Parts: sequence; structure tokens; C-alpha cells
Amino acid sequence: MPTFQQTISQLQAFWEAEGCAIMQPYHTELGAGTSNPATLLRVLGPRPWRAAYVEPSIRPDDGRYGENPYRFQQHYQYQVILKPAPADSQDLYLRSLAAIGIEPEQHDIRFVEDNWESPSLGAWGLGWEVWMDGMEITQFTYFQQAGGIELNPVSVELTYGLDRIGMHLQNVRRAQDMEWAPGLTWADVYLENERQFSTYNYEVADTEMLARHFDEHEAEALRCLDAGLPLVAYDHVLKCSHTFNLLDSRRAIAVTDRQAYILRMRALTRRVATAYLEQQEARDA
Amino acid sequence: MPELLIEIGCEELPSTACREAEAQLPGLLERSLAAAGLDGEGPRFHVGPRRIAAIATVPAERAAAASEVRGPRADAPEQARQGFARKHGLAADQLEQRDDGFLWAVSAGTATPARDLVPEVVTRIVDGFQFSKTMRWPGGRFSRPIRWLVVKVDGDVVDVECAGVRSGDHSQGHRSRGAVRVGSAATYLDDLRGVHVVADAGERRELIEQGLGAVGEWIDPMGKLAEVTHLVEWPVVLEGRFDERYLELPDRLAVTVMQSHQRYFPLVSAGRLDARFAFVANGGAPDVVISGNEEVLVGRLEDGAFAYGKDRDRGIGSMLAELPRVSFLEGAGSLAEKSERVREVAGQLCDRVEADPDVRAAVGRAAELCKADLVSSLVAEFSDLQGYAGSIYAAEAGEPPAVCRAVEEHHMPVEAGGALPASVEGGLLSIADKADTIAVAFALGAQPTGSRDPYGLRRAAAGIVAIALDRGYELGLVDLMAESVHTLVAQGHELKRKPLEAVPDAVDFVLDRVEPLMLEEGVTVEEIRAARGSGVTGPLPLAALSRALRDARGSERLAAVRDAYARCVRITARAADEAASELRTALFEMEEERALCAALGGADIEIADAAAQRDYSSALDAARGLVDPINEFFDKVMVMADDPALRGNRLKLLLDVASTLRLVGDFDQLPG
Repeated sequence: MPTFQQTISQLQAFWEAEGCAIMQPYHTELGAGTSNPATLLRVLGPRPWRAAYVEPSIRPDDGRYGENPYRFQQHYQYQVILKPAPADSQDLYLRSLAAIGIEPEQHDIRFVEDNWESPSLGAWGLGWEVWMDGMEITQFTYFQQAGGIELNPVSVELTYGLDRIGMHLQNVRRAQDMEWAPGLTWADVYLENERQFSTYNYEVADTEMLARHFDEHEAEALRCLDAGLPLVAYDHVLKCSHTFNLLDSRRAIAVTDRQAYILRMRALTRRVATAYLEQQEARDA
Repeated sequence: MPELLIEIGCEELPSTACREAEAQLPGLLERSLAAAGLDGEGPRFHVGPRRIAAIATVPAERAAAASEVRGPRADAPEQARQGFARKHGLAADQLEQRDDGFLWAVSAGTATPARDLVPEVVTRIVDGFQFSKTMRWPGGRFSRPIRWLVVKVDGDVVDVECAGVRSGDHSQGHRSRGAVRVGSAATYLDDLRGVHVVADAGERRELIEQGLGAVGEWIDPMGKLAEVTHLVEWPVVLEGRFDERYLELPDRLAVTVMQSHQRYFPLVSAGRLDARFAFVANGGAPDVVISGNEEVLVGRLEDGAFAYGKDRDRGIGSMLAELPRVSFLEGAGSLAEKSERVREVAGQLCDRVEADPDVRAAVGRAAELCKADLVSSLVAEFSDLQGYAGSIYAAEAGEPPAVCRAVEEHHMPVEAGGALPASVEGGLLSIADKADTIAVAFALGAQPTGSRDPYGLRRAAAGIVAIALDRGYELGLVDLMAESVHTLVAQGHELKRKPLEAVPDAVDFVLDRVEPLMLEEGVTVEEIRAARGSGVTGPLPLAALSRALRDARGSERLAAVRDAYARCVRITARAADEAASELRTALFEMEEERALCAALGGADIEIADAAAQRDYSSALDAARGLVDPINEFFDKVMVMADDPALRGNRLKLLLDVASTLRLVGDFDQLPG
């Protein structure tokens, strides 16, 4: 039975052999691996790109103080981005499952329609949620647009739900019981983390400070754009996004303001994407 | 005759795309073959998640078409003669000189083998699909990427390149089986069966129904069977179990948990839910697949139980208190304000249909409660439970059954052709809720444009129409919608459009939804247009008039009325601005004028009465009564008299006649 870290290593080895650059998690909070610049910005423009990485997905509103068997304010995704999307994407994916010990012949693996959209990133794609015996284990998306820009070529994005896959491989019902490393469980590593962050996210976070930070990061992102630094600007957009999520989990965003916040982030992302692409084109010219 | 096989191999198509493909493929194949000059016969279609296949018998070749083309004069320069001959694939001395002095290229034509025409047929079909959602991939644009093509005429592969792939004779079997060589159209289904693919959707559905029947008495209240048929290629029906204690959850919650996301089929015995479910797998080791699915279901049931418990702890009162802080649609305030408007509109509707006082009271109370569950944990988790969740929480708070029922049913019908509210209260609340949403969206400039309909207004409009026709309600849509817009203004919201424009547009939008129903009943587009031209403003009279025009199609009285109407409007349209503003009998000079005026006085009342009773057949009879006076009028009376007063008076009379006749339809819309 593989430990959680072994499963991750096996995925890393598989995708390394498929020519992916193995990246590291990003250095600021992300709701999903898609927001990592290694995906969101690298899918722009014509340059080929293949990367794979673990990403902690930080979603304050999903916290359950560590009490729910599979909902946490932080869970792990394994993210693969292949640009352009190869013709054998689905086969590659199924082989990656075999590589971590999920034999496709043993299971009912299904590609069930799912269309993905992130209004704040100005991004959308079509694809599937991949089911294994009725459980959703991966999001499989052909990226059509990012930062409001039509993508050409189209990339394929695979987002594995590592916790669910790990639970299945170890045959445990609660993520808390998963063996992370020999003799060390997920609960040993993260349970206290979940308690403290859930408490902070729902009860403690200073909403006035957060609202101010959102404005400040937005302003800084705009300054960075003006200074020709879209990569730096994007970090501030990501900070806006996490700040927004925290405000949301504190129920500090009136429903009527929600759309306005999302539009602000969308506009910023769009400018970042446009500037990033222009710089890349200038360098490639 | 040879058989043509075309298989478009795809990555998993959504079930909606499969159904679109099934609907479009017969027409596409026929048109594509016709465009290539081929007649297809005995077509068969097989659609599934990974393939769209069409088979037809085609002639071996497209028959030769003889041609004669006139060229240069016989005495034209050598160069011109040779050029013309070359263009037609002939030598100069093969041209035929005719008596007209010209050279002719005469050819009996050559037959074209079908296989040379098949590539364009395939390309036309692939390009011709209209999916509601499409994506791009490096290769093309389709519902999902195309990965292989099998194109054969009998046993021979036809070479086609399309959407980035090249045809061959290998298809893909079930993922556990890999590729397979397809012999021909005749062996197609069996070749695929050998690699665990049931390519025919009808056959898959039968297998699934048999399998489900073998497991027990199954139910499918959310209608998942059609979708599941397109989620599998090699259906295997399996049975799972769950702990009895989940049966303590409200039935519909348990059923929704099983059906909504997981597409399982609940099992019942003696009308009660079992702690078992059936589901359709696409392969795998049964014990592994069953235990995986059981585990997923327990997780979902736990989610449901948790959300349900949380909601019960807080009660519907606490949900209602939250509504003022939750927005409905941009610019239309909160859900609390939405509920207030629905209550106003519902009150007006109850007046209109002369509802009993107890019905009225229940609808009013239900209007206040019906949006509460939108902030419940249960609806956040399972949006399909909207309405139902509210009804169980209302019942727990001691609300009367009629109120709970109306809350539960006010979302219905949830889809086109779906079940309608069974209770009077539910039907009235449903109409009021939908009318408010549509009116408000139109007043805020948020009406649907093209295929964009983010608030589902078309579905809402279709719901209003379905309920109104079913129950025979006179809605007074204009008043209902005006009420809704006025309340919106009174609530302090700013309109983006003037009510005088938005409300009629919104009413028209609802009437648009009557059309598809009428077409199904054999009414023609022209008849519907004529009926709408009458100025009716409700689904019920529109439907009644459309049917009356359909029933009168081809009759003498209809033709007579139509022609008489045409005579009136032909002349008034030309000189409308010369018509007097009021008819003066003192200006009548001729007997026919007086006769027509008198006939109009009688017919006017008869038509209006009959129309009010929705008895458009009698209305048409009354209109027929005007035909002879009209014709006699035209035969004897000079409408465009020199005296402007006479002229104006006669035009006015004809305008009045036309507008009376128009109550039975704008006859100009009907074909002569």
C-alpha cells in the first residue's frame, strides 16, 4: 500500500518521463493549481509547455475544523498542463493512473461531461470530471480561454484530487487516516492546521484589514502593470483572490458586491495576461 | 448496392451532444449525400459516447450527366479552338461543328464512382453538426475532439482527411479492449460487440432496462435513463446497498442524493424505498466497482443528512430573516423583495381567476415563504431540492399543507414538457413567480439575447404557458407584469427600460412560447402569426384562436373573410392618413354604406362576445356575416370620392371593419 508521499512521487516520475518540467507549489495561496502562473500564464501564446506539480489548494470556505472526512480548507491537487494538447491525452492520463496502482481494467473509469469556468480568471474550458467507480478523481479540461484571451494552441489540463485518490489507494474512509509517510498520518501532519485555519477563516480574520488589503493589492497590481511587470502584478492578483476568499468565508461580502469584486479581479487578470503575452511576443520577435 | 459506413470516433461526447447528434444525423446524411448526387437508402444511425456512426446503401456510382457546351466559331483562330477543346478534355478535332457555325464540346459524361464522392460527404457531415457547445483542440472544432474516422464502402476503406485525422478501417473498442478492424457496414455492430461496445443506443437502453428490471423494482423520477444510455458503451447493471438508517431521511432527499449527481436508480418495494440502489457501470471488476460506488453514496448521504440536520436546527424563520441580504438578480434587490413582488402579483392573479379565499390566503403565505430555502444548506448541496426543501421546513414550522404544497410546486415545471404543479395553489404561485422574474428582467434590460438566457427566462415563459393552458387561466399578463414592475419601482429600484416598452415585450416573449405547442398541434406558422396579429395578450386566447384558424383552413368562410379583409386593408393602407377620425352616418350617401355600417354594428358585438368566450369558430361565423356587405360596398361605392369629407368617412368605415375582422386574426398573414 503506497504512502501518500509515494503516490505523489509516482506521479512525479510518470510525468517527468513524459517530458514535463516538475515545478514546485507556488509561494502564495491559490484556490487551485490552475491559478499558478505555470498554468494560467504559460498557456498563453504559441510556446509549447509541459509542466506538472503538486499544488495545495487553499479554499477557506471548505474548512470543517478537520471534522469532515474529505472537506478541508487546504487539500492537495496534482496539476499537469500539456501544451499543445496531445492527441493521446486520455491514454496518457489512464496510463498515469496505472502508474500509481489504479488498474483501469479493475475499475469503472468514466469521462463525464464537465465544463469548467473561472469568472475571476476570465478562463474556461470543456472536458470531463473523471469518475472512478462513481467517485470524481480528476478534472480533465481542454483550456479554451485564459485571462479573457482565446488560447491557441489549446492546452489540456489534468487536475488530480490527490486526497481522494490517496484515500482510495490506502482503502481508508477518512483523509485523516491516510498514511502520509511510514508511521505518520495525515492527521499527524495537518489536523491541528485545519482546526486553527478553520477558526481563523470563519471567526478571527480581520475583515476590515482584509478589505483594505484587497484594495491595496489591486492598486499595487495596477502599479506593477504600469511598470511593465506583469509577473509581479499577477502575484498581487493572486493575493486579491485569496483575500476575497477569506472575506467570503467571513460572510463579509454582500451578495450585491460579490460580482463587483469578481469583475475587478477579472479585469486585472485580463490586463496581466495581455501584458504577459505582449512581452513574450516582443521577446520572440 | 454497396453500403457506406461512416464512423466519427470521439473522446467522450456529453450526453446532450449525443442526443443532438441523433437528432441531426439523419438530415445531415441525406443532405450530404444529395449534395454529392447520391441517393442513400435504408439509413441506420448509431450514436454513443465515443462514436457517431451512419450507414446507408448508396449507388455504386453517380450516373453520367451528358453535356453540350458551345465554344468558339468554327472559323476562330487555331489557339482559341484548341484552348476550348483542352478545357473540356478533348482534342481539337473531337469538337463537333454544327449548323449554327459554332464548335461544340459534346460529351456523354462519365459516371463518378461513389467512393470518389464519399470524402465530401464525410466532410459535410462533420462540419454540419450544430452542437449547443463546442470546443477547439489542435485539429478542429467539435463537441469533443475527434480521434479517428472509419469510412468504408463495403469492404474498402475510403481515404478521407478531416478534423486532423485520416480515415482507416480501425475503430476503438471499449478502453479495456483497444482497437478493432471493422469489416464493413454489415459487420459493424458485431465487430464492435467483439470489443465490448454496444454501438446502438436503442440496444443499450434495452440492455439497461433489462438489467435494472433484473435487480428489482426501480424508479427514475429525475429522468436519468436517457442520459445514462449515453454515458456507457458496455452497460453492466450492478446493485449496491446502504445502511437502513439513511431511510429516515425524507424520501425525496434520499432519491435526489442517488439520482442528481451519481445517476443511480433507487429501488422500491411495496411503494417504499429500499436501502438498495441500482447503477449502470461501463466495465471493471464488479465487486470493486460496487464497493467504490457504495462508498461514494454513503459520503453523499452523509452530506445530505448533515445539511438537513443543520437546516432543521435553524428553521425556516431564520432562513427568511436572511433573505433581505441575498440578492436576486442584479438591480432587482433582494430575495425578500422578490418574495414581496411575487405576493403582489399572485394576489392580482388570484383576483383574475376568482380564486377562493382559502386558496388566496395559502398562495399569499406561500409567496412569502417560497424563496427561504435558497439559503438552506440542503439547496446549497443539492440544488434540485429547491422548493421541496422549503416545503419540508415550512411543514416543520406548522404551515398548512396547501401552503407547503405551493412552496414545493412553485418551481414546476422544471423543464420543457415537465410535470406541472398538481395543486391550484402551486400553479398560481408558479405563474406569479415566473411572471415576476420575466417582467423584472425585461424592465432591467436583462432579457435574453440570442442563445444567452442566463436567468432561464425561456423556460419560465414556457412554464407559464403550460400551466395557463392546462388550467384554462385567463392571466391578464399585461396587468400581472405591470404590477411586478410597479412594485419594483416602489421598492426603490431603477428601471433600465420604460414599463410601456418592457411590459409588452415581456408579454410577447411569453406568447412566443405558445408557438411550439401550436406547431405540434398542426397549426401552421402563418396561422399562428395571424392569430397573434389579432392583438390577443394571453396564451389561452392565442391558442384558441390558432386552433380555430387551423380548423377553418381551406373552408369557404375563411377564404371569403380573408379576401374581404384584404380588400379593406389594401385601400386603407394606401390612404390611412386621409381617414376621418370619427364615422359620421350623416355623410352616408349610398345604401351599401348604411348596410355595411349596420352589419358592422351587429358583428362587432357578436365577435367580441364570441372572442371573450374563446369561441373563435362563432367569431369567424360572425365575421363571415360581414363579407357580403363588404363586397357589395366595394361593388357600388366609390371609396376615393372627390369630396374629401366623403372619402374620409368611407375610409374610416373600412378601417373600423378591418379592425373588427382583425379580432379573429390578421388575415393578411394567411396564404391565399
